[in-house]
Amino acid sequence: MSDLGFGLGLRPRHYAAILKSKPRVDWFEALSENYMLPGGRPLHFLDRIRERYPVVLHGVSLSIGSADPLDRAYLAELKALAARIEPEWISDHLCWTGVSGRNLHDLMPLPYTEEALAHVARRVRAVQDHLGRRILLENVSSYVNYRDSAMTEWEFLAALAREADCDLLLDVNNIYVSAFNHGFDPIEFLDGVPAMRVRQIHLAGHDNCGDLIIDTHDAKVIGPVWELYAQALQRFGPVPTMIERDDKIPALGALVRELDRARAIAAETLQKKAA
Amino acid sequence: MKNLESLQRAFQRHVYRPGRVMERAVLATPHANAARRLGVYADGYRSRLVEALGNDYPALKRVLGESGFDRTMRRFIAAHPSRTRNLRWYGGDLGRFLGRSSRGRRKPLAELARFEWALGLAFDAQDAPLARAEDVARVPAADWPGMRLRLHSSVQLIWLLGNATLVWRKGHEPFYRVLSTEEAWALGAVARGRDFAALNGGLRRFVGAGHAAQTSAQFLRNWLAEGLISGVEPPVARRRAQGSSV
Repeated sequence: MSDLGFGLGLRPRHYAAILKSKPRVDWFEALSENYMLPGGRPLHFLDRIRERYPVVLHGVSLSIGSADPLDRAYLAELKALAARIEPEWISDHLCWTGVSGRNLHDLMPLPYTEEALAHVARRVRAVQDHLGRRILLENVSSYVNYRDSAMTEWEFLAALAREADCDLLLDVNNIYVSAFNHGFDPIEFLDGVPAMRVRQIHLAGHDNCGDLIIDTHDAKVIGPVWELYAQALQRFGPVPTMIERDDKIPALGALVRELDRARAIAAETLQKKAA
Repeated sequence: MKNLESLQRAFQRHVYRPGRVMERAVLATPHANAARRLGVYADGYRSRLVEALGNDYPALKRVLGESGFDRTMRRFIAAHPSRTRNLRWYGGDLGRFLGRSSRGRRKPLAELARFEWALGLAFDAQDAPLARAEDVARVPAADWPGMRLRLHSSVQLIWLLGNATLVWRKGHEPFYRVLSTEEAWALGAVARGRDFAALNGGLRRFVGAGHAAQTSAQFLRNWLAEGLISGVEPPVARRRAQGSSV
């Protein structure tokens, strides 16, 4: 996998501006489910944008950690979309989204147990076999820690990457959010993740409620998350990075400027690392 | 909680109906107890679905107002746990729910919901090429009686406030218009796969034998211009297609 550079989450309100202004963005990340549709405007624009930019697919419904059987119909749809778009890679989240045939439409955290590890690793391998490619799994923001967890989140991620032979999408904001919510040191998280597996980085904003931080993706990236990003690059070297905004989405220009900050931090950090 | 499945079932039950059982499975900290932590998921579930329904049903939301919409959607959500992977398909039963759960005054709301859902279906319906007037012109006059039309996949006929209403997609945007009784019947006949002779035969009942052919020809011109027709199948082509599939 190549170093794609700096990307943005593809959002419908930016379609026209992207095609017209050819913004300073190296690639786009499309939310898979938003394009797992019969036809119409979303797929039309995704095709047009794909003609001009590399695209990666990012899902929210794989439910890789669910106790339910894998959803073969979902996987078939995802594979068909991948055949159409030819994404650089496909990612989803280390979580479950529902059980007993139901869906909570949320990224529910897993207990970090040997049982869950074996279950998820088996399913990741099955998904990778079906798609014919390695997938990336992303660390989620979480608000609960289970009593039964027997290892840390980063130990679980590292073990999973090894046992399932999958890659990782590191959301630096989610590390910050979960570190605040559960009282761990985010640097320990970075140190615990296998550098060779980190293929993509997400950056985003959040809502600090005082007692908990809620991962809202509706605001600018804050200073401490930028600092953590620099530390991540210090450890992992150059990794394709993007800004993910899902709500209160500003004009494209504002996000391109925010992405420029990521470029500047990466340039400075990697220069220091090389020196 | 000893295994993954029982943990997930208990957590899901908590999201649907918060209680004390799940609190024992998660760690509390001095700044946030277990109920507060679990509450983020329970609150998030409902507000996420209400927001998605608001995107699918903007007119219904305007009619009910912010708080009325919120109350009604929470009742729908409680009665309809999501079984779909893609949030896009969650709200399809809202029209039926409103029609069933209500006294007569809710009927217009149920119809409005069905209408807005139809607009959404038109928006991302399957892409298909559109037939043009030239395609019809190529059909020899002798073949017209056996000619059949294929509607674009976005075309839907629904009832809205006592009117037969056509919903379809033009370019990238959903459109709608109210249909006359005879046009509603004619489009329905096309949708059922009836040929042009049957169309003319049926239209006699509405416009009289002298005007049926003229009316159907006018409908066809309009439908082609509006992008409702994906294919014109003369009987010969159909015979060939049937022959080759045997």
